[in-house]
Amino acid sequence: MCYLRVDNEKCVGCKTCEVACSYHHEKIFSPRIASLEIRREDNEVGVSIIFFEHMTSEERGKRLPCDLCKGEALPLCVKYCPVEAITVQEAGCG
Amino acid sequence: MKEKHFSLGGEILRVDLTSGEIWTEPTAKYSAKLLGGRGVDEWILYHEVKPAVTPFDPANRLIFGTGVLVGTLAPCATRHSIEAKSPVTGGIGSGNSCGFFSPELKFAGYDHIVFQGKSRAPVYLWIDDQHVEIRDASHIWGKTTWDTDGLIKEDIGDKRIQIACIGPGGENLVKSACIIANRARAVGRCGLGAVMGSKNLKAVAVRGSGSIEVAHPNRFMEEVDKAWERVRASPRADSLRTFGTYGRALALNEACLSPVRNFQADFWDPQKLKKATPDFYKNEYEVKRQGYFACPLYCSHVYRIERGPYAGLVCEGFEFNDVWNFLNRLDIDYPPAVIKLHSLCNEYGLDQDSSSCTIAWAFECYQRGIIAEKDTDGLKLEWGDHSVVVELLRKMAYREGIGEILAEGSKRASELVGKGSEKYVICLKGQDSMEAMRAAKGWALGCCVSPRGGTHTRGANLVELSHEIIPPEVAQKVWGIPKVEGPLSYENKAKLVVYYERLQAILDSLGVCMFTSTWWSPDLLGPEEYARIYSAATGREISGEELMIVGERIHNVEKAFNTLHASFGREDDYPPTRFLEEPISSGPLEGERLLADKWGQMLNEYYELHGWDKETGWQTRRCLEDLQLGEIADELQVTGRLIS
Ligand code: SF4
Ligand code: SF4
Repeated sequence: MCYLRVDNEKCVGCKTCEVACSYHHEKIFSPRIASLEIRREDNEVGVSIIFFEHMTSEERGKRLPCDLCKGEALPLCVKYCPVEAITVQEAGCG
Repeated sequence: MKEKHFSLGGEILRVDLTSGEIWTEPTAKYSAKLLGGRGVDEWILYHEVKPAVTPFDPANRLIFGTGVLVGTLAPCATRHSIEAKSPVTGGIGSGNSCGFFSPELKFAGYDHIVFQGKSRAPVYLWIDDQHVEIRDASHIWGKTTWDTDGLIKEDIGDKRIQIACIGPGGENLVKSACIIANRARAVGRCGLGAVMGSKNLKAVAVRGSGSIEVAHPNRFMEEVDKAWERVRASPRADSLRTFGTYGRALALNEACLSPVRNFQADFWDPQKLKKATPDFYKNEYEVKRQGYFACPLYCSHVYRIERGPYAGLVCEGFEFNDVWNFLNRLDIDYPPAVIKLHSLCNEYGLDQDSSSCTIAWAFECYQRGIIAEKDTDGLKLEWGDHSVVVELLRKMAYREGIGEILAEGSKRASELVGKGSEKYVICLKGQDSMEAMRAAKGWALGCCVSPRGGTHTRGANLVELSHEIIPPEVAQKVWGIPKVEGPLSYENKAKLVVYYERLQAILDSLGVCMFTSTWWSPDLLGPEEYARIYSAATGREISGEELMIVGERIHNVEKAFNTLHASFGREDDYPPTRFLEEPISSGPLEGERLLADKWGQMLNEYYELHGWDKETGWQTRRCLEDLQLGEIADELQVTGRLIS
């Protein structure tokens, strides 16, 4: 099994992963359907990366579950994250 | 059924604040000719605001624009432009910033918002996808931008909405008032926040849950991948990631481009600068690095001050400008002051460039005995005293005491004060000008000819400063010149300026950040790359060269607006007198200044490249018709400000 590891400390809160994820699912750009969400705190200091599986059904809304980017060489959230805040923990993903 | 248009939200939202009416129109009718963002904003402004309309007249428009690539994975496609007739220059008011506001608006389905009219009471606009509502803002009026942000989120019951708002500065029609998104991202220049305040519009809040589709997804992603790789690999982009925009501080001081004491010097005491190095801020104050939507540059840094008079302050980071603005300009030898003054400007909704320049002018007037404590509410305007600056910013934002005068900007303030204070005004087209210019001629030209009244983001170049590392073949390929000459040379600089004016118009219309482009470093993205991304996104095939023609068109719309509204001509494209008459007083380039005759030649070359008239600086029919702007030529002709 492979899984994604996140590092909230590293994350710069750019939400690139959300946009990339929506592209993986539907070939469109739409953070609201992404399987993960970046939450920035009000004072902009803290950031947390929340995955679909940890969301309430209300938070999920139109979101699609993460399939670890089936069919892609590398999960798109990992590929586009500029700071390696999301990384693959075992080989064989996608 | 809505017609499908690629890479667009699809609609322009129209809001009449007088009648409360809200309606939409399709964006697509403007796209081919003017792209989006600034291009479309300025086109609408040009056509709907006539010269008789004054900036605070309800008939003035306040126009927000996203950009064609905003919301996609194109690197740093996250910017919004705002345009209106400027209360500072009387000509084009135009500014641009980043954050999450622009993509959110686009996901709600809107590429632009056009405000007209004036609300009777304070309001804000709430956009929740297709639901658009004008809401009461009486409980928020008077609040800082930070409080406004929190209160509106509370009002709506959602912390994740995006907000652009004004602070007390805009409400009180301060000429340097800006519009702030994400608490720290400012559309700064030209007094756009004051136009917003004049309409009684406190904020625009948006929640967008839709999507952006591109015409050729696979091709688009291939181009995007190449672009990301370039941005990732560029060493100069890396300096942004590490230090933000402040990375080149020491080099720029050595180049005599650090304004000190209202430009009495262009070189700051190295002992003082040594205390305020990029490394120092990073090690001492930085708590986080931060980026906005789809931005691999994450140039914004969050700082915390733990000791001293400003202890407890946490805010998103200052830009390079702010060090110029608040340390060297006012000769403040206390590095954390820049963090405090920067955050105060954001909270009050004041543009830091203009505000600090007006304050520097007042300090010089005080130094020369033109004003004294009786004029300054008892404050001693002594260089280096940051606590006085804290006080003056507050007074400006609330127009209190001397703040009433300073709120007008230094040009108007000097008319009120008189007594020779006019001599110390450093303005371009009536707007306070923040850049040192004597030691970089192409940079200076770009600032001086900028239609929005100064600023280095509309044509000023940086490459002359690294001319020695640019091979002739790169100079030829990118800018069409045999060689990039050093900053003290006037040669071939007009070409660089025209190139960057066009490129900048494109970037602002696509909604992408200039730091991804050849403006920041020649190894980054140029018109060819943007054209490929644009073509794949929209399905409208365009070459880099053609895209630059669109850039030229947008620039000409801006120029025509200025000619019609403010009658600017050749004389308004000259640098402030101080830079022509007083040489640099210290530092490696002591003695250097701008020479009027060489300036004149450079200006001739610049007008020629645009196809404008050299004698007057006005546009010609031929140039406008070549750009399919014949109707603008007709209008200029009626006023007698067109050369046939
Ligand atoms: S692995 Fe793919 S599907 Fe899962 S969150 Fe990342 S981008 Fe989305
Ligand atoms: S792409 Fe990386 S840095 Fe950006 S928000 Fe996602 S996890 Fe954070």
